[in-house]
Amino acid sequence: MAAGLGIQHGSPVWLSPSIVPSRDTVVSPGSSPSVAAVTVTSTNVFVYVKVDNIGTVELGACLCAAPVPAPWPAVTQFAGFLASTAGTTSASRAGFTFTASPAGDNINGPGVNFLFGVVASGRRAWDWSPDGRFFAYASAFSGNDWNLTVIALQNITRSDGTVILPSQLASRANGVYSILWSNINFGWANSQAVVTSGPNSGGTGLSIACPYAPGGLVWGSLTPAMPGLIDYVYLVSPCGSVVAIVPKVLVAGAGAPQIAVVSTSSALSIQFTKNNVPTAVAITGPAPSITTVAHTANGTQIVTGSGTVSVDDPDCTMVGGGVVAWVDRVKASTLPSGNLGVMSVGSGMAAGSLKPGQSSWVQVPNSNPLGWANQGEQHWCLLAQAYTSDGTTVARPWNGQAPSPPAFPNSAVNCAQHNIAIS
Amino acid sequence: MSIHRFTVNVPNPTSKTVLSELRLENAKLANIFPIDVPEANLEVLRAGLALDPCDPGKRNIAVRLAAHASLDIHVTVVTADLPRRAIGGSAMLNLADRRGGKVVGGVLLACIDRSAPEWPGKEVSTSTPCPAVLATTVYGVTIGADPSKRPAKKALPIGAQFNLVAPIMNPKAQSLMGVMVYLEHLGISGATFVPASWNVGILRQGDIFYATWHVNTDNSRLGSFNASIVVASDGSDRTRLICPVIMGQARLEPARHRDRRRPE
Repeated sequence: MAAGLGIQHGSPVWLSPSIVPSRDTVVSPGSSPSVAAVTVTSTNVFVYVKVDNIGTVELGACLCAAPVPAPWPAVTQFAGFLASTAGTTSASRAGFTFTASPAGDNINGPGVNFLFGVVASGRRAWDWSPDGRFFAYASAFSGNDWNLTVIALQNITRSDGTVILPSQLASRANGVYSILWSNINFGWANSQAVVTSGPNSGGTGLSIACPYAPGGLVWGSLTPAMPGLIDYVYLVSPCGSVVAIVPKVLVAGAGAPQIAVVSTSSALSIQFTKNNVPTAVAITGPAPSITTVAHTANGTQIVTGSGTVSVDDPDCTMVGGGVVAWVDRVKASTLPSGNLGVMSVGSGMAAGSLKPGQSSWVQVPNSNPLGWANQGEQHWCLLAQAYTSDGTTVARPWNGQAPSPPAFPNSAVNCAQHNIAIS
Repeated sequence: MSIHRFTVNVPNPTSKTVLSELRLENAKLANIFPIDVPEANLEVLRAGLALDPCDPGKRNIAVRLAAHASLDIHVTVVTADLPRRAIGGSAMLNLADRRGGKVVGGVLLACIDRSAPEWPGKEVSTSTPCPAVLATTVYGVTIGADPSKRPAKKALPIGAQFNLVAPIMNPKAQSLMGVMVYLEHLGISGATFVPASWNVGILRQGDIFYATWHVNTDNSRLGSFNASIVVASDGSDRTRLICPVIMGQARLEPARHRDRRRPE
């Protein structure tokens, strides 16, 4: 599976048919425009760039592949637990080995050698994330306190674009419960967050450690205890973008508390939305459930106890990023790599799933304040490139606005040129 | 008779001296694609390449280029008078650059004698456009605010970050399936946005989906611009909705609350 974008080269190479200056208003990105002559005073000329998906991966689509209908599962409790300093264990997964012993605990593997140290109380719990990209470890210095450490086992790109390397700390949280905790107090929410909950003075303490959030942020709350009346279950969306804190109203009439939602990419409270408008969902029954029936708006159904309500699927209603078509121009030379005064023209987006083999004509307006000024030279060359906005799936091949830019890589499949006259 | 002059740069980005063989070749307009230039009926009387702009030159020239150096080649094309002046005429030449026996680059030279006004462009329609439309014009709301609450002012703020809202509606009697929306561009405003597409799915009659995009207008210009939002649904072609946006407001309307305390 490889991602790839292309812009057809021309024959001759300086006349790509996939780069077209045009005054046409083309209703569909599936239709081609006709070429317009450009003058220095033109204000209504677009550059249309035909971008082809030449890879084997659909671009711009939601990455959540969970089949629907998908009931939201509860968090997955940690599998490993020891309660005494004398306990020993060794467990391996995907080339990484966790070892616990009275001499200290550690995890080792390719590029990872992390020492958790000796746990004075002997109480610790641990587990790999379901996708094997993280290892989470909780320990107690003494009594009821807990310290959670989440370690990256692979390169992880956070939601803000920062990268954490193997063996680096991805997230950290701590707290104190009113009980001696065990592995049941910790669980993975998909592979996106670690949910920790337990009784505390005044209620139930809850923390959600989010390794993909900027800085590995942790969300926390304290919910008043209402034993026998209201309990809580922590449900995870099928692809882990949110954790829902869902009340269970055990006794009719005990209230209608609302579901709280936490984003694992930001570690912030958010709201369910309906047609992208924030909406609150109150629970009135003892057995609430959430099911994703479609990865779209109104694609998630919540059984509240008073019926079923629909809200937007938080995993896939919005898909960030897309395919960019970027256009620059240079004074014409016989080589496209000869950059004579690179001027930006503008960019446009082709998004909303570009399947392998599909093409889209992207409409690019000339947003340069200088318009089509020709600096006294009529012959110019439009340089177009296509890439994905995340900068990684298909990297941007060239930045003409950088100081002293290198030669335009015209031979690249996702770069092409087209000579024009600006009269 | 008209004289068309061009200056074309011939670069050598390599670290070795190279020999560039340049040749002017006739290009056929019909072989390129439909083009908004007058009919290709200009007769080329003479065409030449030269290092001296006053030299009429000849069709072939070979130049030796030092490492990391370039030369300006002057092209002079003389064309005959137009047979039908009212509609203008054109002639196309390719300047091909061969190095080591291979064409490594070139330039299309368009000699245009135009007396008619420029073609204004046309609307290229599509057979099955997506029926989804904008319920109202697009507008801005503060980030995190309810996108269904449309502010009274139409203009978008300059030098600000906000959510641009496009209320997408189904005007048809039957539900639209597989609806998808994305923002293609914000015209020549200079504003930037975080790209995203919205999987709306089923859009029932009269339903409105409030698509939003995070917009930054720090480098925007004042005025009215045409943004392009693309909508699609099952069984239809992707369709551009041209959305006028006005940039000009100092800031978004503040949240409506009133402090009744008197100043101390």
